[in-house]
Amino acid sequence: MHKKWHTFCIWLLGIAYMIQIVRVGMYDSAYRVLMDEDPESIEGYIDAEAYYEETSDILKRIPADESPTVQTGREIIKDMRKRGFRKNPIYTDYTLTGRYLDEQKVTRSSRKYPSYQTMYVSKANELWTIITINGCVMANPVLYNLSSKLGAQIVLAESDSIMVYDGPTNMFYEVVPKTDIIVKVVDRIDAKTLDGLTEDEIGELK
Amino acid sequence: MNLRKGYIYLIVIILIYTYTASCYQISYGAEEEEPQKSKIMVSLGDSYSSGEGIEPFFGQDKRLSKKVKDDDWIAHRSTKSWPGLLTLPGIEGAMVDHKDDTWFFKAASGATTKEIEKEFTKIYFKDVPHLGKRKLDPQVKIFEDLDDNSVSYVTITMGGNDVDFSGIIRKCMIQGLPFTNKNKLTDKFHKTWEEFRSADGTRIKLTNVYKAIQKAAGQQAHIIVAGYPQLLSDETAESKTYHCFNQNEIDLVNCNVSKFNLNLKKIVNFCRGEGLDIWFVPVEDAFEGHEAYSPDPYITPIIIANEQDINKILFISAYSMHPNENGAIAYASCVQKQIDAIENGEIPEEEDFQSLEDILDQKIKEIEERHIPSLLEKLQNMIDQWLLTKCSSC
Repeated sequence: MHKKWHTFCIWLLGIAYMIQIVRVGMYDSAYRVLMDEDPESIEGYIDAEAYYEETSDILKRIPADESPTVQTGREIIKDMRKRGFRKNPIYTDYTLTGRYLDEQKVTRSSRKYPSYQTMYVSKANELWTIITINGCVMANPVLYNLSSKLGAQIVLAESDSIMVYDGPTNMFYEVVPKTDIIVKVVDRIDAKTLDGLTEDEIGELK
Repeated sequence: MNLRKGYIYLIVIILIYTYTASCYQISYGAEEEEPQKSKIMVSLGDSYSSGEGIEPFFGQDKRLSKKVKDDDWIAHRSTKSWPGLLTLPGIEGAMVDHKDDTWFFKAASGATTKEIEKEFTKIYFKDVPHLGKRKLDPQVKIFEDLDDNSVSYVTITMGGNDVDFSGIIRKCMIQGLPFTNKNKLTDKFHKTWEEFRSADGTRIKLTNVYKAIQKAAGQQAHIIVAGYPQLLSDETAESKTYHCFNQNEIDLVNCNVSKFNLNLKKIVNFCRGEGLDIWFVPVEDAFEGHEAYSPDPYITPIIIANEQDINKILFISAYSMHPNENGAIAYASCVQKQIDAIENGEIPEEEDFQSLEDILDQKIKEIEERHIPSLLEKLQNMIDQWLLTKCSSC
């Protein structure tokens, strides 16, 4: 009698174990379907060379990791302070090898990054994004652009040509835009210049 | 004499029996006729559920010093949000008419998967001295305050802030010039999906959130997960007031939203396989042709921060890229169909997700291929030129 009971218990345990294996197996495979069956991430990279050729005159092509004018974290902080952009932190998005970082605060280090950006609110209450790419400083009047009917964004720069960056090819392009963006030239991008610009004056810049 | 006594006893016994039986019948009948308990709905989630951008918000009319202490206002819970527009059988009017009675509204603008089970610290900045933070209870805490197994429906939109597609668009417009880095948007999406798929990424977090809700609400509760609409219209590229993105970038944003919805659907399906009573409601079709910057938008475009914005320091309004009043009606109509189907015992047919995904993949490939010819042509030109120089030197 005792032996029969013992055998029965072993059988019962065995069946429970088998059920558990099947259940876990089913769970795993179902979860794997959920985890692995996704299509690969969307590539969708734009051919930057083709885009800038279509929309601009390309003056120069400079590999980012070979450019001598790329600033370090320390240099950009110093430069922005000199220009009067002291209040807000400076951020970067890419390493100098073209790896995307997803917005990182820049510190006073000797590390170089291809592009930097910070914000500035002028006395006229305009919100500006200050972008520096390979040493070229540009200013984007955010609120002005939001309400503008020009059909293209306005950007202030210190010359007709602006610098753009492409992460996947890790390349700078010096371009003179023809479409998609309107470049307005000012002597210097600094707090003093931006403070002196009202909404009307931004539109009237040449 | 004894016989008479016997009769009397018998009559007394019959009378007692009849009285007791009638009393029992009365009380039993009364139990049967007791009115049915009202169904309860709990609405959780993020800004798409709270009704961000659709004024008036609950508590909006209070003085500033008071409304910053009002959870409903801090969470930007709208009186016109889509969950409030839903109806349930046996409840007169819409759920908004029964707030804190049979409808419990706990969605909060800005909430991520984390804030379903944990406290949500909302930072507000109106002006000095009205700046600070306020802690909102974990959203599932509401189930502790309700009777066990009393909730019939839980509605939720969740995950949108974890992947933050609308934030991506806002940031692209504020923090940079898309012209100066044409592939930043794509890189940002790659990063988002990398995080989504990681071991502790949004996908796992969503799975855990749905399970936690079912556990807290009880097995009787139907969980309805609403998807997200596409944000930008095909006509956006032509719009004179919006000039950040070209057609390709608009397609990229919209495809990524669709892909996110497909993933949500898959997670919901997986959870249903695990025994959860959970349903996915897509809303993309209801918003088609009504994206931001379309002639009849259901999505608020990028706008400047206004009086009711919680955080004025951000300059750009949190209303941006959220459904407007018409959008809320569209959302409610999609979810209502699902509720009605459940109430009528109609289980919707399963869709073939794989084929849907194939269609999406095809669409993504089409976007990619728009650029491939120029690359190939360039390569071909280079080879041709090289061959020409070789041949001429020969």
